[in-house]
Amino acid sequence: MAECLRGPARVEAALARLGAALPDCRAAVVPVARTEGPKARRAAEFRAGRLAAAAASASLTGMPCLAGRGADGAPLWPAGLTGSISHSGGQALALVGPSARRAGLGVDIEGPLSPRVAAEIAPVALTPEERACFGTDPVWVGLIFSAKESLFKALSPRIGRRFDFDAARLLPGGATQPPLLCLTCDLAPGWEAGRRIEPVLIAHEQGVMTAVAL
Amino acid sequence: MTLTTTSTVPDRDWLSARLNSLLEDEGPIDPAESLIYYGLDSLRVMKLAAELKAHGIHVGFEDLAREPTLDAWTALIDARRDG
Ligand SMILES: CC(C)(COP(=O)(O)OP(=O)(O)OC[C@H]1O[C@@H](n2cnc3c(N)ncnc32)[C@H](O)[C@@H]1OP(=O)(O)O)[C@@H](O)C(=O)NCCC(=O)NCCS
Repeated sequence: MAECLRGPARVEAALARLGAALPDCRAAVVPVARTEGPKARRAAEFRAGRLAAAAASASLTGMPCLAGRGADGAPLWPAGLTGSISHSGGQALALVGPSARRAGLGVDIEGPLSPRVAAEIAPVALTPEERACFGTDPVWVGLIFSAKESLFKALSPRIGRRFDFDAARLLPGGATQPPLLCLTCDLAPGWEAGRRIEPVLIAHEQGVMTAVAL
Repeated sequence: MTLTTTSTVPDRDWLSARLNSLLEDEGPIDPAESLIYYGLDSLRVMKLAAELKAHGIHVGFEDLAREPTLDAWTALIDARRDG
């Protein structure tokens, strides 16, 4: 599930994996234009994310969509669609799907973590159980961190509340079972402690790509 | 023993020094402006939360992410340090 993709077509290969894992959804990547200064960079990231969403929507429905922005920062989708946006390392990724089938979508990309940064953030990003199981391995710390962000993006707008990184933990996969996110506390009716959600976990040479489809 | 120009007990000066290096950005930070505009992302918030925890100051990622400004974060760590 989380073996590392190698070779030159890293992001494209990761994108193909994401598409295969969620066949009812579409994902698209758009490069973020190079700009001077932090404010212009943020504006360019926002634009690239919206362009990626429009491209994903065009591929799903034949019509590009115009995603707005809600007060909580989450994208607002036109009727019939739901989705999620992420940017990192000069690329913006959007995942869009039909709201009739998906209660929420979350997607996240992160650059590779150095062993030092992985060890640094593990005490906050991972629960004690996760640290006991996955240690501070940079690929796993990156996947867990990113999968929780994807979970947040998919679930938080749905239930109308925010939650922290200790609200879920990743259960290791087995021979026949993929790794699963498990809620550690009651977040909302229907989203109680113990509820399990299968994330899409993709590690590649330029970092990680994860998604959560509810 | 190493001497640093930043204070070791996290306070406003410590925070602005950490932000200046985390955000890899020259120039002053408007303390009331969202740090998102200065290139703050969740990994950097996570790093800072981890550093604060290592200094004995327990602020969650969410506490920081909810209002990412220098002013709000200073108030937050002041409250956790003294409280
Ligand atoms: C919002 C957050 C997820 C963004 O993550 P990031 O890695 O810094 O940035 P990314 O580029 O991946 O994602 C940014 C995009 O997230 C989306 N987003 C922002 N707030 C959101 C929210 N409340 N709900 C859903 N999506 C949101 C936006 O589309 C944004 O891009 P845009 O402003 O250009 O549209 C993160 O900063 C955060 O606040 N996390 C909350 C805590 C958490 O993740 N807990 C884990 C629970 S197990």
